[in-house]
Amino acid sequence: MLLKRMKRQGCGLKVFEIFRIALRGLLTNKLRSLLTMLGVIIGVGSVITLVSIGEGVRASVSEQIQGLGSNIILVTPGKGTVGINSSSMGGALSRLTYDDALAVERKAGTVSSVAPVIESSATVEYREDRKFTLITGTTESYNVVRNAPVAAGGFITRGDIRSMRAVAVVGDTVRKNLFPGANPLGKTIKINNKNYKVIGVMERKGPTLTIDNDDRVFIPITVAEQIFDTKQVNMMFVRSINPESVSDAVSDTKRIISGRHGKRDFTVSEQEDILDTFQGIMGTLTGMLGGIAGVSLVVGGIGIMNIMLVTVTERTREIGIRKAVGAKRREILAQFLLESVFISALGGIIGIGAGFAGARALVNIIPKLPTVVSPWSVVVAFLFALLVGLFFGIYPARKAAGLNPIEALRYE
Amino acid sequence: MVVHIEGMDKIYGRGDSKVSALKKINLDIYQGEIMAIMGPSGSGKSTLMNIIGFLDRPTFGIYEFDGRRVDKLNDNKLAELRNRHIGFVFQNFNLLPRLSALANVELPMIYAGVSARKRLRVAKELLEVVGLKERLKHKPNELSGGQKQRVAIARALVNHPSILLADEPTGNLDSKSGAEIINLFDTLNSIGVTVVLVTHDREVAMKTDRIIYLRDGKIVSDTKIRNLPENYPGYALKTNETAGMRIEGL
Ligand SMILES: Nc1ncnc2c1ncn2[C@@H]1O[C@H](COP(=O)(O)OP(=O)(O)OP(=O)(O)O)[C@@H](O)[C@H]1O
Ligand SMILES: [Mg+2]
Repeated sequence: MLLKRMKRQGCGLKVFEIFRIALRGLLTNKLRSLLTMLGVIIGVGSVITLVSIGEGVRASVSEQIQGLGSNIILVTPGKGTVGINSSSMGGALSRLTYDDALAVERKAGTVSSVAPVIESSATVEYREDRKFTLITGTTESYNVVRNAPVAAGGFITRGDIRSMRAVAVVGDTVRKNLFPGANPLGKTIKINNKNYKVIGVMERKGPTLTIDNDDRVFIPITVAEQIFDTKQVNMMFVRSINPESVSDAVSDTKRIISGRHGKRDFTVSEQEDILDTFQGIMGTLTGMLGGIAGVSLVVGGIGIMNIMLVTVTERTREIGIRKAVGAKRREILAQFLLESVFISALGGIIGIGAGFAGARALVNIIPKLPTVVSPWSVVVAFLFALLVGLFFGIYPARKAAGLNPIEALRYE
Repeated sequence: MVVHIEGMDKIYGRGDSKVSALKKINLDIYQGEIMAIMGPSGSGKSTLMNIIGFLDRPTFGIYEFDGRRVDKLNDNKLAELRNRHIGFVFQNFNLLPRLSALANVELPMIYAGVSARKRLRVAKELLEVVGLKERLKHKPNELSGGQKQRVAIARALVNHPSILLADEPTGNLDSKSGAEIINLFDTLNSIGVTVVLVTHDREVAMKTDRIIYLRDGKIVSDTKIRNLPENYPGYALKTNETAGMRIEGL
């Protein structure tokens, strides 16, 4: 607005000159300008980096959720809003069993298959090697429903479940750890000191964030019920016959299980619900991260104000001289305001570079942590930096502009 | 008449700490004259100069500049008047230390919105006028006191001021360079520049057209030194062409 007014008065030339004067002021004390900028650089850099973590987690987990398939329904014990929350509080609140799964699979015409899972951690041994891993008790439907094919051998069969055979299918990580360079098929491993025959190896799925999806051993659900001494399934994956029939499958599932339990003590959620909830949580989290980093930008702004106040005091005489030869209030104001805006703008630009570098460095330091620099975080961080420079530059610049020329000339 | 001051008071502070720096001043300054203001320390010389030069405002009274009332103007208007009509020369030079002689001389033209090319041309010309042709790129700390004051004078002249105001311009100089500066003022005056200078040196004052003597904020005497021409006031001030300012003996 200030500059516009000067322009209207036919002083476009002057605007340019005041730009130059401000820039020169910045360059006379390079180290100081750089140190002041550092606050803004760190602020902008950390906003971009932290938001990139949030965005990265969101993108990667969303992809994983979408990977479930759009015709997958999740049933979890307990009454929550959405699978994610209720599965964690699951347990004692209600019983969701293998029989429920069988009932849904049998009775619901809209459901093609159901994969219940009982999960618990246990020690797995092969000869001298042992490792602590996740044991998943499930049914033959699992590799269809979860789209998790075997790489070698076969998956658990209906017969294995009925006869409660001590068989196991190992994930890729377990294979690598316990059978380095060897074929695990037909070998005998021990889970909680009980022998199991390895009948298959899963295809590698790759990690989600820091969770290794391949660090698992699958066993028949009936065996899991026995060794973990529970009838309670942690969750079941229900697959509708096609994507269009998802909502019918949801109501069928609800009706059938409610009928068996006599009440709605479970939660049914579609992939979309899970995605929405998750995205909501991540959005809040990312916003918080950005906000925290934004605080450091404000601190950077206070640094600018501090230095600009020192600068104005140091240059009191210069201000007096400029006023004595005819500089107007707003010309002095513009000079010092531009100086602080330059600091924040330049700091912002360098900070953007720092943010990208930080996001990249994080991926190298924590390989499983994906980071995605989002364009809006770059724009918002930079504009916020500019605003901070402007805001915290106003007070010192006004102070400079308001100096009495005689007193300023006399200042020593 | 460039300056017409009537019944002017300047009061600093208020209440118990009130200082009456100027009392009922009546003063006319004519175009083309060179005038000295004398008086003991604290008599109000600088105060008067600052008001004439729009660095300050009178508390009471009338100030007309070029026939226009200026005693109640706002800061912006005063800055504009300083820029267009006043050339200031200070005892302590008041040059910007980081700028070259040339850039220092250009400074008032920046605020007047003069183009870079013209600024350079005028600044060079005026530095030549004051005899510093060889020192264009020097910083103030690479110049002697007398040279610094010449830069300041060149700077004061760039916007063709109606008045050149010099507050003890030789106060920080040895007698030789002081005399040179006074000669410079004299020469500038001879080509039409109106000059007001504050000095403690009687000899310097005696070379001017007129001496004002201040004591306790009052004008106690106003003496014409030279016999002024019949049609006084009357030097035509060349304000448009610095190119015409070529001074002999410098
Ligand atoms: N900003 C101010 N606040 C209060 N009093 C002031 C201020 N400026 C000047 N004075 C007072 O006004 C009076 C005139 O001061 P001024 O500077 O005009 O004197 P001077 O004649 O220039 O003296 P010198 O020869 O020492 O420069 C002095 O009594 C001084 O103390
Ligand atoms: Mg004085």
